[in-house]
Amino acid sequence: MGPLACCLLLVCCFAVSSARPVPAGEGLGFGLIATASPNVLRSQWQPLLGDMAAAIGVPVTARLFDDYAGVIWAMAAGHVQVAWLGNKSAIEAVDRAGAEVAFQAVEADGRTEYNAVLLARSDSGLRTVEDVFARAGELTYGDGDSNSTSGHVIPGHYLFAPRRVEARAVFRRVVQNNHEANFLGVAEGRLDVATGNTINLAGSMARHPEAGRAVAVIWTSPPIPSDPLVWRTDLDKTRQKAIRSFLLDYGRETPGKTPQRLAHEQAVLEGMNRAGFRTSDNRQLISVRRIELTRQRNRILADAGLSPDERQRRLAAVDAGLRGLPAAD
Amino acid sequence: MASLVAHLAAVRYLPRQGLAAKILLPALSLSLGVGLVLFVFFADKFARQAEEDLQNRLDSFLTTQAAELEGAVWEFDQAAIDRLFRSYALSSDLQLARLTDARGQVLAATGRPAPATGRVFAASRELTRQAGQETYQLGRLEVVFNDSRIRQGLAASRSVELPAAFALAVLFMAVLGLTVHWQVGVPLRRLRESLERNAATGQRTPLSWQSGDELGQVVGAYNALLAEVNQQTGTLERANSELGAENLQRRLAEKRLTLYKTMVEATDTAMVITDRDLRVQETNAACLRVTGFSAGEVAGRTVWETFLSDHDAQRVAELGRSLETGAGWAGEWRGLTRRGGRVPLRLTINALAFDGDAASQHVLVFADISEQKATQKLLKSLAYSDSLTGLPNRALFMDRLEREICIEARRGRGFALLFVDLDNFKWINDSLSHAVGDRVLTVMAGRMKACLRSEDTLARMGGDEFTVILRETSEAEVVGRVTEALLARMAEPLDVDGVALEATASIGAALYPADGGDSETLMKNADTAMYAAKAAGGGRLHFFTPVIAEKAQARLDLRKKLRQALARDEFVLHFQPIVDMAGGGVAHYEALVRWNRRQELVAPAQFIPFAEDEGLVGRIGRQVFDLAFAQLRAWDGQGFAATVSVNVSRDQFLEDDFVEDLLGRVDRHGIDPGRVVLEMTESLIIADPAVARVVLGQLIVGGFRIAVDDFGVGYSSLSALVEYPVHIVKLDKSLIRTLERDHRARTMVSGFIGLFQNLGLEVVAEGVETALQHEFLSAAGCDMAQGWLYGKPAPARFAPASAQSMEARLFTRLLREKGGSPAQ
Repeated sequence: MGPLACCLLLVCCFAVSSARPVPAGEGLGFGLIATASPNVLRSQWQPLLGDMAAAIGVPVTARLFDDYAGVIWAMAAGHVQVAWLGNKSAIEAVDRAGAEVAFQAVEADGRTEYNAVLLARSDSGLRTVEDVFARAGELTYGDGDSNSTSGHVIPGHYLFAPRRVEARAVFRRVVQNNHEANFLGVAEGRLDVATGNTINLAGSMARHPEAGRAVAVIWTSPPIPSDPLVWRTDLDKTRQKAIRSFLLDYGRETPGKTPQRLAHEQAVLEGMNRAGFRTSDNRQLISVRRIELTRQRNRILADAGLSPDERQRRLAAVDAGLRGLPAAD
Repeated sequence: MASLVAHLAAVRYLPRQGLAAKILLPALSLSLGVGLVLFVFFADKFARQAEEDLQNRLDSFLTTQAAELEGAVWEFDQAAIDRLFRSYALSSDLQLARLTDARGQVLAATGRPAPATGRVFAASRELTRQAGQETYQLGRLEVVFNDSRIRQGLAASRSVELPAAFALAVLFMAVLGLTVHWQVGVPLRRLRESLERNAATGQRTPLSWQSGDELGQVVGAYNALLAEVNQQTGTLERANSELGAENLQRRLAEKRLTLYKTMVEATDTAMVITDRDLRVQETNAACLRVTGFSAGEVAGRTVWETFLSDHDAQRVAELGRSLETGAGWAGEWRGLTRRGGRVPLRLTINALAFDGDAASQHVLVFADISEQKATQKLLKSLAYSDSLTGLPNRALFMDRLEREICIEARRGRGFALLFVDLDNFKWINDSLSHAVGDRVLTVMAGRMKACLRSEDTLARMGGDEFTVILRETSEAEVVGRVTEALLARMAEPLDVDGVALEATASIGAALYPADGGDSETLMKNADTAMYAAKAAGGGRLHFFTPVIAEKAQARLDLRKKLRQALARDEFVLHFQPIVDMAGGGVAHYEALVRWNRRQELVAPAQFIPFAEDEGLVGRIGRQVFDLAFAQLRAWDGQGFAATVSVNVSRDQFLEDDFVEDLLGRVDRHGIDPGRVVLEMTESLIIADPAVARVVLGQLIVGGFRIAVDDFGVGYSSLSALVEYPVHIVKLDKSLIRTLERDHRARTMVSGFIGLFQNLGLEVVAEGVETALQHEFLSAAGCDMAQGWLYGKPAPARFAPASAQSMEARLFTRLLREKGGSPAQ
């Protein structure tokens, strides 16, 4: 993994250096991952992006992606300058697309963290994680995108890794969906158990109260840092500055902001289940990086097809990565 | 091409080689050359094909793997990439696979060291992903294939195919070689050999040939040529040799003819050649010697006119038929001599046929066998003793008798001739067995021998007849003494195989010279005397007297007349009514036979016993049945329904086919057997119980009714009546006759009637002559009665009329007895 990691690093550097800087006069591409249905997402975000465009003086175009990788490739290609991502996808964006963490969402309750959850139908008889694993052979499991933090990485780390099992190996069937599809799948009985997170769950329950009553949370993960907002490091500094001042002030009382304006902004944020944004940087990703590297390490150890030399090499690379991380904050 | 050149060279240097070699060499060269060219061509084609395949596999591999890898690269899924690359190790043709990203950095690579030989096939493919309106260059997949593996495969298959192709070529050559050898080489050699042979010898044999090909046609022409030559050159030779052979054969034939002639003349066997009609053509010396004719006398005349007797027309006809069928004939024939004498001949006649034609001539071969005949006769007469008893036989006895007559005619002392016959021998033979009969004869012969002097002659004439010559015994008194001892000794009981038997003998005696001067008369008279003794009851001696002779003559006459009577249907039936005592009608008639002898009726008592002795009673009985049945039919025609009783005698009853014959007659006349009562005496039944039971059973099954006749005389066995299935009992007239004067008889008769009726039997009283008898019987409940009171036996034509008058009479009597009147 050592050479490969080096290669990747080089690719990233190349990509960063060769990416075409977006001219100040052009519009801004804002990448969004469709964790719920694209229309819902667009309707949640469009008011904010409209306000942003007005504030920074350039058109802001919302670009929705079905998968997490798409936003990263688009960012690497320079089609998207700013993106709202999860922690896991933010790692990829930082490593591969020349991005950096700039902001962090503040949850509606004021927290800057959220939790992954495991959902089951309340009448399914599944009450605990132990129940799920005891009957795993007869259950259908709704997994998240492989680049989703709460949908895939966190459950993998906390639920599957300690038990040294893979979801595909223990469940009768495994399907990958976005959070809302998983939620609805459980509610309608197509899935027996599925992943999700507290933020999406709240939104889904608000939109589908009927389904919400049928679904029960049977496991909640340790806190995960709230979703980061990344931008390309080569984004024009003045524009960065304009965006920063816009986002940090959004939904907050500032001098000169009319009450009507403030109420509008807060209404927009409420529609997004957020309280606002605060400044953040790449350090936000350390805890998830650790989780991800640990997961890789376990995979290497479990991979019987590797030659001893290759395994040793890859383990050394992962271990170096782990050592390079600062102590958990 | 090189092989062709080599072949041409070989042809030049092998001018003396056979056709086969000349054909084979070019074929071999050509087949090897073409095979090589084909092999090289196809080997190259296969190699190119394999390369093309490899290229296709490479393209296909690249396409599928690019598609597989695209998702993994897009998702940054290094694990999936690694997994795919690891699977490439399984692809045997792969030398190198490398995945680089858009910047040329290697994401994954796998491969194996390049082999020393082999060509390399390389190809690469860009990995792209369309997302939204954008197309992203994800990277590049490069793949290198090496053809060393397929080259090895091709080399391996070549290493097998080349020898195989070579072997095939060799096989082809071998087959071709053999074919040429057999189809061309061998036939040509045969043709050559035939030519050499036919050139060397005078006799030219054609060559036999099966095939119709060109060679066959050549041989055909050759054979035609040979035939032509043979015909031309052979005709003269053949004519010469045929002439010579013919001469030789003629000389030989003449010589043989002379020899045969000598032989025929020299032999003792007579030989005659005749034409088809047995007209004499040739005779030999022996023939003339035997017959006494000269050759001229017989020539041209038939054998029947000359030396063969045609006295037996039937045999002549048989002989003629036999010859007509070409079968020939052999046997004895009476020959005639010129002087009219008879000569017994052994004659053989064979047909002579030439060239398959019908027989045109006959050869008669014969010999005089009079000497043989004489010898045979002598031999026969020499066999003088009886094989069973060892006594002299008839021939010897007759010889002795003649001699004795000669002696006594001269010396005048006289002698006695005895005829001895066992009384019940026939019964022993029939009822026991012939083996027992033979033993009895042997024992009797021994006993008699023991009673006679050694100079007397005891002989067995045949059957149970013995004859004795008592020498020098002419006095009746002496003869009586001797025979007395003889009879006593013979009457002693004897034991044969555990069966105790008694056999008596009857003896007839004739004295010489008083009772006859020649053997024939003596024998006849002794025989007659013996019959007299038998007629007197047997077990005794009878001397011959003229009275006996007369009686014997009378018997002979009677026998003759009885036979005539049978032939001339002189027997008639008279019918005596049997009345039903209860009902008063005539139920029944008893048929009684009468002999209508010259218009004078003879009662059965006068001829039936004699007929029984003479064995004629069976025939008479059958005639009686026919007459009775015919009468029943005749009465039927007159509307007179009656039933008939017929008497059955003992001899008749014991005949083997009695029942069968009787059933046949009933059937033939169309008579219901139920209308026929068979009357038989009690003694008949008791004498042979086993046979009686069987025969009675068959008769009853046949539908006849059985009556026991004359009950009350003889045994009067009640058990017999119980034991045998009879229907009717007839009380004898001797019982009925005494009814009027003996009260014990009355008791007995009424007792019998009650007893029999209780046994389910009907009772008929016979010989009822008086009204008193009738009344008693009627009172005793007797079923039926028969007697002069009701009617005498009368011819059939009177029966219906007498029946009517009888009924009237009985009815009137009935009325009188009951004291009533007809009106009531």
